[in-house]
Amino acid sequence: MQPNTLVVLLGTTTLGLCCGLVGSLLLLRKRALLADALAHSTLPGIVLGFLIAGSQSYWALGLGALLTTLLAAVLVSRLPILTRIRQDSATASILGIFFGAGIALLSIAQRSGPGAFSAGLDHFLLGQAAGMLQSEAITLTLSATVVSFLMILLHKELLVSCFDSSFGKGIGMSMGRVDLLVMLILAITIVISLPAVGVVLTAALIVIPPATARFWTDRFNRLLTISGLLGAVAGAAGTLLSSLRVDLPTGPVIVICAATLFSVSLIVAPHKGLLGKRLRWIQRKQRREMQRILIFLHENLLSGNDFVARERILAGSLNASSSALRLCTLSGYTEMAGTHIRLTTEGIRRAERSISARNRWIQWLDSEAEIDRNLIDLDEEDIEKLLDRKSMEIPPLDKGANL
Amino acid sequence: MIDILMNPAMLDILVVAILAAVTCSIVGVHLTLRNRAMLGDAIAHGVVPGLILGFVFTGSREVAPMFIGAVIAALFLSLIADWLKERAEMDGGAALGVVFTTLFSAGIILIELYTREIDLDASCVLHGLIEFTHFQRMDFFGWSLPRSIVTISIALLLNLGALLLFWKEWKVCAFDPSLARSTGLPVRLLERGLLVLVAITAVSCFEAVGSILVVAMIAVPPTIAGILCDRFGSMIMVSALTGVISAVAGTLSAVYVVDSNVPGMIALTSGVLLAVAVLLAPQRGVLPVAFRLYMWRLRVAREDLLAESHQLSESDEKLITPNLFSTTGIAWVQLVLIGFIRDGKPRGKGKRIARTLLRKRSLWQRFASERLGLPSDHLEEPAHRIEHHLDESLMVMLEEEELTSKSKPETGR
Repeated sequence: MQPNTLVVLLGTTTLGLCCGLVGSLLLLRKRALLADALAHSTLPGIVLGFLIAGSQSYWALGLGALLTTLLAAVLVSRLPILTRIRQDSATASILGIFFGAGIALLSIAQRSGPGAFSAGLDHFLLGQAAGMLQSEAITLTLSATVVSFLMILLHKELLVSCFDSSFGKGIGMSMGRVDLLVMLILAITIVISLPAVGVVLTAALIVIPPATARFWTDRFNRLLTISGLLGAVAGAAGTLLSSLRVDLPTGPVIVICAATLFSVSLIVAPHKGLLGKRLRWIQRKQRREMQRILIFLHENLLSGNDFVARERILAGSLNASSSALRLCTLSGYTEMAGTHIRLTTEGIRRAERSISARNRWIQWLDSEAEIDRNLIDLDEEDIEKLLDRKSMEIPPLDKGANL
Repeated sequence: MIDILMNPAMLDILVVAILAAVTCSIVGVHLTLRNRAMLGDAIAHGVVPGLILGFVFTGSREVAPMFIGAVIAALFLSLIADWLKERAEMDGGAALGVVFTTLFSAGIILIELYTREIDLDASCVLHGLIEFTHFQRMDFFGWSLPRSIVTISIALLLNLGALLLFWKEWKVCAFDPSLARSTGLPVRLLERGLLVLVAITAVSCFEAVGSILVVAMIAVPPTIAGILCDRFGSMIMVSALTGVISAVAGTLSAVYVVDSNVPGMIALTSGVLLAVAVLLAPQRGVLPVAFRLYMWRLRVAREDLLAESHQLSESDEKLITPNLFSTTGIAWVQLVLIGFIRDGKPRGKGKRIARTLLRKRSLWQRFASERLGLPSDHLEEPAHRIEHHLDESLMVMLEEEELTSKSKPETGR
């Protein structure tokens, strides 16, 4: 590993952490795309900074970028209040206008500015993480520390501002100031990450880690922590991967790492992941099926049939699935006797339990919930008439309710 | 002006800019109404891998494969974002953000890996080649036309055709999706169709005018139209018109005034138009609304002054001249100038106004205490506020109410 890789690694890791932290605030305000708009609106500031300062000093460009970004942030949040503009339209309009203005200024600067403006648009759009200087890495680390410290210090105010700002106003917090602070933190984060990863990829680093973290938790503090960690992991992994080959650009590889983490979380996250949801749905379906079989067998038991032919369960009016039946046998509720099946003592207990639970539920619906008796006693045909097949296939959203 | 129209290269640039602006602003109205204006920006970034893959698979720099690749990428992007929003229950903006930034990064990596030796860089897509419109020509049924004019015209015709064909359907989908679904419209199919249209429009404009112009023209003119209009049809007209104005003004200023990038200046011009609309729109502009509000406050202050001076003059006192640099002061100056107040006492029509106001106040106080049952110490303040808003018909109603309650005092108990 080259010594410069270490510097870059430090810079991108803290950058990922910082972006992940700030991004979760935006995600909770449902303003994730604001990051993209603000990242684009740095361009006019950078060019103006260059035109005014006459040099490409880090601080002149950064200050210019910070100012236009803040202006854009204020405009995006004020325009929908001032007149009838939707949030999304305001974001997109400001993005287009500021970036267009930046391009126009850039070409003026390139044609008639003081000296040649050597930093091309590519550099600005994509960043050059691999060319990160030690001083830049230190700036990044310092800013990330300050941002994280601020967020830990103010996490209560931030929490309130994300979820219930009128409550915050009620207990005497200055919500306007908190919002301004969030905008300021966001603007600083965007400006410091521009030289490393560029416009679009800054937006990516701000949007993707919180969206990933959202799959794993519902709590604010954990969301911040997980999102920051994911950002840091993506930054580090991306830098290491891109150092394997010379022609791999660091910024995009970092984003691809973040996106990989996102896709993995999308599938395997226990509560909100697609796999978990699917499994829970299958489990519930299986349990309903087992319940039906047990009740059917119990009814037969009451009318004197200890043994019921396997075919009668799988075909006929019950039409149960064979896997549910196998599961019944495996969990010890039923036992096979040749081609016939009967309930075990445990199975009888279970069937009685579910019958009594169902009766209690119907009673409750009838009395407490005051639902029409005719609606409770619907059989399958009625239900199928009411709801078409498709809407019955929707997997349940809540987690495994009991019988 | 004439020499601009005589210069064929300039004319071509102008025509392309106008066509692109109109095409994008028409599609943009649909997106704006669905609160999805950011889709334009997302597509602008998300098509990059499609362009590159189209190039890598065919190995040629022909337009067709790259165009198809880009349209497929745009569709893929919007469908995946929708799917994430519905199935993974993500916030719509976050879903879009995740997908398009990932696609863009993938595109950049593909560029670095496969097309190093070709000058196909991101800034080319962003800037567009509008300045070279005149020199990239193609044969179109015997005429030699600039290529981008032909492609954008086709996109525009497609847009207009689809717009007219599905006018009612898309309108219903935009404003009331549940109504559309309940009347049996294939909402999902219509929305997908719209996405296809957006993708085709955006991609056909990218090559000619660059993605900044597309992003700005999809977002800004419809936003301006949204401030100015209340009807779908007029919104589309105004949006297209705004697009044309910003295209013409932007192009001319970029070439003749500041020597700058054409799409950038068009976006900037549309921004100026947006600022003008936000500030000056007759119905919802910031300044007209503030002006109307201030006029109202002046009227209230005038009426208050008249009523006060009337009350004072009954006990032979004079109204003290208020501080002239306040709303009340301006109202006082107005009253003195039109002669409603002289020597601190109401005169002529001023007296009538003051009497009506006091009558309204007492009517409302009685109504509030008898009918609404407000306690007596809560009567003064609300009556003082509401007296300015009681119009003639309400006053007549209150008077009749009072008469009936007076004539039948026993039945009320």
